[in-house]
Amino acid sequence: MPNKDGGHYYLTCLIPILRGAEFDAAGDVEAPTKRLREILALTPVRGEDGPGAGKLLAGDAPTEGYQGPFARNLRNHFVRMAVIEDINDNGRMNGDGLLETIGRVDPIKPQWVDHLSRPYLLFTADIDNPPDGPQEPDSYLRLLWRTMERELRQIFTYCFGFEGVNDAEAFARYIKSCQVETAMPFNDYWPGSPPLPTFPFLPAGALAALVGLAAGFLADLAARPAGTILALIAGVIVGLAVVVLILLNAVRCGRQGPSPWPPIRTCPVYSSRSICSASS
Amino acid sequence: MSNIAGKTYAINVATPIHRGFSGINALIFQATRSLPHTLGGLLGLLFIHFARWSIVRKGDWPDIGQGKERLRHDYMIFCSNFNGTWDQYIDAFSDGLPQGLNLYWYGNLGYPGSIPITPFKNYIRNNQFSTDYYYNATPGATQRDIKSALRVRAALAALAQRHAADHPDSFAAAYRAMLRRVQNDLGSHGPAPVASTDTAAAAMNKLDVLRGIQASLAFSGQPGAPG
Repeated sequence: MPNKDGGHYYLTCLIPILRGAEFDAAGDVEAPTKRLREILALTPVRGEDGPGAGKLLAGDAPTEGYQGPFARNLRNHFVRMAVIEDINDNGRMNGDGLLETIGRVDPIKPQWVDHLSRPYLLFTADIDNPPDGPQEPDSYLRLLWRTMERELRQIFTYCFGFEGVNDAEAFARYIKSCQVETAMPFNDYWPGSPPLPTFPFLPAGALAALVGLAAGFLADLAARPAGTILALIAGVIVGLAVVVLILLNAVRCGRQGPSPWPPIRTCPVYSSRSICSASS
Repeated sequence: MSNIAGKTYAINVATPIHRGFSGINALIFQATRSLPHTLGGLLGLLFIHFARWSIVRKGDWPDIGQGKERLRHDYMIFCSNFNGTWDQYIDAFSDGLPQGLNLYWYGNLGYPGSIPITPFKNYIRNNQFSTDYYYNATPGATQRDIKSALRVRAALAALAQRHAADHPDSFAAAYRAMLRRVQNDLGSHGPAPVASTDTAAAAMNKLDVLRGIQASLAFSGQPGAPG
């Protein structure tokens, strides 16, 4: 599954948030999403450390001394958390007027509008995952727990099902149970031009045609005097089979299973650690 | 809330997919990965660090005991980390790879097409949700800075290999040659122009609260206190 690309792992999770009411110290009612947003807003974000780093967010933040908890491990490139209260509606989708009239679609009748039953926390991380690296996302999630357990507890205490999470293993299981697959990962940390092999459409088509012609010729010889119709059918079938085989192979190359794309031999390991050391 | 960390902007967009079309959509992504040359347009933009598209089918919203979601549509979630402003990004997307966008958002409900730009921007704006926490490991660097740093690193690594065996004179010549070669990669990182005065003001307001939290942690001896 394409959660990996070019030596990076793409963690994408949708974590259900608690519903109901929370009470603050003054007895006022607050939604868990509000509490969660407050916690997230107050969690430091600063990245790079070192002399002058406090100025890096200048214009954004004079955050001297307040390193973000995700900076405690150097595998992170980007991490984001976003509360999804509900999904947006894009308005009425009108179809073809003629077909809707024939199908007795009443334009006055409201269309179905999707709503989530509860809010979700979108949690994504773009992290290093070298080809010879550990099994992900388990290793990364355990590392997070070891380096920022306190902050993780503050954040996820407003999420459904977190109450039983008390160690790194349980945290990894919890987050993985909320993971969704990344259908299309993309990164551009290629220092030069990355290898972009193209599919050989012309040679593949020529090969399919040649094999089809040969099969048709043989079928024609074998089936005489049945005629050329049979030979034509056989040729087309074999030619299409070759095309399907070639396409299946291309899909297999794209899927890559647990391996990153592009192939491992062309996949340099670009870690945030190496970036930091290269730029310091 | 901040969609900005350093020089990078985080965009999140969730769009519904026409019933029965998410399989075609997944196939398009699969084909894109199988035919890497189709990514040339995206790579040519040179300001995207990482991006992802996830397809969440209506039955695939995580259920850890809270109950299944009852939705009629599958959803596509798009997240990207890019340099520059929201407008610059959408403009470049629409100008640079209009056909690619039409394929990636193929079968998405209400998708107006990448051209003309105004309906496309309205569509993205309507389906975007803001980021509540955004961490960037290299806030002072753009994507091009990072690629430059990687080129310098590779050049230094090659030089380091020669150091043990080379004569000092030839090593000096190699060093000077390397220095000439990577001249354009020796830029400097640093703060971005203020992209959002609101973000800057929010960060200023947050500072006092953070000082209070850190001071109380230091007093109680808990981890996380400033060293």
